[in-house]
Amino acid sequence: MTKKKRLFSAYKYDIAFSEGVSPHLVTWVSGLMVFFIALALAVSFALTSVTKNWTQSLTGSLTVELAPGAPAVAEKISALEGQHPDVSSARVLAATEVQGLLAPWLGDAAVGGFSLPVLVDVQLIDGASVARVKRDIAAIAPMAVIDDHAEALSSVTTVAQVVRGFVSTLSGAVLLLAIVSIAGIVRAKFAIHRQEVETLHLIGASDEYIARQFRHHTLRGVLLGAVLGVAAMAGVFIAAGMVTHTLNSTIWPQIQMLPLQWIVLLVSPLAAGCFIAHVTAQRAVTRELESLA
Amino acid sequence: MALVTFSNVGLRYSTGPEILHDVSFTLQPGSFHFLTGPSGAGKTSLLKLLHLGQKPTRGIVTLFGQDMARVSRRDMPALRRQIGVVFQDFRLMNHLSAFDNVALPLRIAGTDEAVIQKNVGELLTWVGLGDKMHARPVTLSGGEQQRVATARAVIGRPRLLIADEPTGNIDRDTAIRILHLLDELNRHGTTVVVATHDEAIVERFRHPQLRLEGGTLKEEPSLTAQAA
Repeated sequence: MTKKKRLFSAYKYDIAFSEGVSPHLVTWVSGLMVFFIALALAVSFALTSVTKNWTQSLTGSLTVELAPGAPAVAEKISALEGQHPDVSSARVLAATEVQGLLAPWLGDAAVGGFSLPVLVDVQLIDGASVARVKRDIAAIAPMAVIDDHAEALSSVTTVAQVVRGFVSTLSGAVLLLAIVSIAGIVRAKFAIHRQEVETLHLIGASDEYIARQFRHHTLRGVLLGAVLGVAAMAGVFIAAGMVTHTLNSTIWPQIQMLPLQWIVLLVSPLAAGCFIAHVTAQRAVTRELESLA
Repeated sequence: MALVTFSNVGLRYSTGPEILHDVSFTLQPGSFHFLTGPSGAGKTSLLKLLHLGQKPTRGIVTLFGQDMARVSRRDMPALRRQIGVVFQDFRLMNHLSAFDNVALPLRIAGTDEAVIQKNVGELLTWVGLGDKMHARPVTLSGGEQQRVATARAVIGRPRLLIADEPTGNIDRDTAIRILHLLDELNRHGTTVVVATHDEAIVERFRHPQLRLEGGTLKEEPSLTAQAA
């Protein structure tokens, strides 16, 4: 049996890791941690996608609200299309469109009984001066209510930031918990197999040789847990995507992630898990080995 | 040059009483000594100092010409590989086969696997376990486990072999066979120290004694008689 075969096939440990603390404990712990961290990452990406969708639909446009029965003023505003350098289009919404917008809030029956305001949807070019356009519209219709959606945008951005902050804090806590748990499991394994470690130490094994065995064993368990955790997260995320797709809602846009985001989502928990396993096991074992003569 | 030199060595565990007091002796290369004394005399503690499992509280321990107080932790494993140890409780790895137990010191030393296959197979055959190479220690008798432990201690051709009560848990015939094995290794140049209670074995093999009583060495061996 060559060293290469030993490394890539059935790695034979000098320490009986299959005995004592459940050999799969580290797999379960890391699987659960990776699932939560990957899910948090996925939520963060999804939130970015949704926020971007909402922001794109709200920026670069104004809604001008005029009192009922002002068609001439509305026509003047719609005439800005082609005349004003910052306006790409200006369209007076038909009464049925206005009714459609209000119906979800007031009900179909109620909407019919109101005299509806006149709404003009003004689309701006990229880099337009919103203030200048608002000033020019105000000059045409001093009584008009001009909504540049700043308030809505501000709310969306604030909510997104709060959720992202919460998700980041939660991920950090889970990560810390993962490190502490893995270190604890490694120390417990060291304590259980102390006599075997001492024997290896006394027959000439270096600290690195012994630490490598713990590292390899921990890494294998964490890697398996990370794969399971990422797979579970991917399942949950795909299912959530399918649900939002079937909702066909205009308020909750479909979650779309870039290929790079998928790669980050699938690879980074695995890489982080491996790194944490390696460093944590090494540090925990080195500290314990220092107690031997 | 002496293989081992102890000069006024004392040992205590933590804040407890001193176990060994002013122990001084020298072992020449190729010598064979019995370490004798009543229970609690400090035999196992002395062996721990010899196989670098413990550091002395005071005094100087020199092994292979090196003052152990000046050897760095990094260099210790290489020194330990020159010492073979047969533990009283064997300390075999129960999840490994007899073959893998004996191969352990060679694998730790990074020996080529082909050499391991050849040498371990030959040695296990020599100690009479050629047909039990793949057996787990728990399936072996006490005498067979003792031979596996001895084979593991000598597979790396150590310069110093230490055995703690190697005849303690086995029948008379097996005990004599183990001692003959150690004698044979000694004839090939290995320095041997055997801790034992067994007066009959000491009488039969007639090697000089290091006698410990109450942590003090009572009989210092001749420095010249056991030279190789």
